[in-house]
Amino acid sequence: MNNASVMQMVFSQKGYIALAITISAGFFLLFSTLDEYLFFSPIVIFHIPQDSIANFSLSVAISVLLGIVISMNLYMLKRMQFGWRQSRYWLSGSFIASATGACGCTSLGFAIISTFGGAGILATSFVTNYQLPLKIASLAILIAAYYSLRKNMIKNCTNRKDYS
Amino acid sequence: MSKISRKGFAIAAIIVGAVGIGIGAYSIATVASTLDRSKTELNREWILAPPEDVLDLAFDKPASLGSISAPVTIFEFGDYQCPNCQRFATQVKPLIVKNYVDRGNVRLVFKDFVIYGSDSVNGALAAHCAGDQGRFWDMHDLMYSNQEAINSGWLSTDNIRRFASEIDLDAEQFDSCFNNKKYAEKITKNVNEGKTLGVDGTPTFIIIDSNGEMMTVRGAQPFGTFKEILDKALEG
Repeated sequence: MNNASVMQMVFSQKGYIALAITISAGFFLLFSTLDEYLFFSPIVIFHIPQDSIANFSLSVAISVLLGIVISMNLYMLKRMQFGWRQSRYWLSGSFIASATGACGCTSLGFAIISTFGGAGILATSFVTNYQLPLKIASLAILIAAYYSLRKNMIKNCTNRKDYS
Repeated sequence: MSKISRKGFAIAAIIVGAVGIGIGAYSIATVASTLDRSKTELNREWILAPPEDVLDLAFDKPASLGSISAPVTIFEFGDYQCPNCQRFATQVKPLIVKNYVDRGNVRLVFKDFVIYGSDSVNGALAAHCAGDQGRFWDMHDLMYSNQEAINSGWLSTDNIRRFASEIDLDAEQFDSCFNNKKYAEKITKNVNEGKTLGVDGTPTFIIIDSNGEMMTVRGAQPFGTFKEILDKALEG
């Protein structure tokens, strides 16, 4: 069983394609709002500043990977009755990617600083200063999650074949 | 295909696919935002502006840009270390100044809303002390165009002195103002004013029209947002 057949196994069902698209779109909207590319008030406007194209591209890549990885993880949980341990990858990947946008000088960042004082300043400064490397780390975690899921699915399918 | 090269191919395919989708989404978003520009409508109501003891319109002349009789005033609450404030200061503010402030339609006032600790306070003090010599906006613009990582030391006292000398300030007068924290109270007042008005992040803009009604804009929104609001405010 190769990479293509794992993808084919999961995404041959329309429900999982729809799920992956919905998850990707949801995260895309979340990241776009947190990174201040998408505003809802006082007008709905989408704008990518020239200096943010790299950050935006990473957000899109992370959103797409989250859609694929979460759908594959749910497929494993539903069809193979395992995969809880694999969810920690995409959970940490999505958390890091969200934190990089949310902790700048936004209201959430301000709330963290107001609550935790100096430690809050340190934490928000860190995620703001290292926004791009953290997004790359998040992407790397999701790629690792994809391979971990793929490996486990292949192993599980092989075991089932051996028993049958 | 060997196992390693198959893995490599899969990684490359995922990355290329994601980048491709990214570029596609970027293009669609750019076109869509351009097409929708003419259809945009304000989805927030103007509300009655607070009384002058909450937001002092006449307060702090050096930190304001444009005619005092301009029908619309924009109060920007910002921090010199905030990356989103830098985005506004370098990309959006010049367009507002060119299209509205220079034509006498809008007055822009900067209010400190220091978030990131003592270096942010240094930045705010430096701008006000430059204001004593009529150079508030030169210092403001210089700091934003030289912004570096938060609390990395770029707003240290030495660097601030260097900024002051770059805009040819009288060093003795500036040092005396800066070292004595002459404007510390004013900065605290600005921050408190912001909190009273519900400011909880930077940049936040309070836009007040000639009818005494205000609208709050949160975040470094593009020029299109401000154009929409300012055109409506100037119509009414």
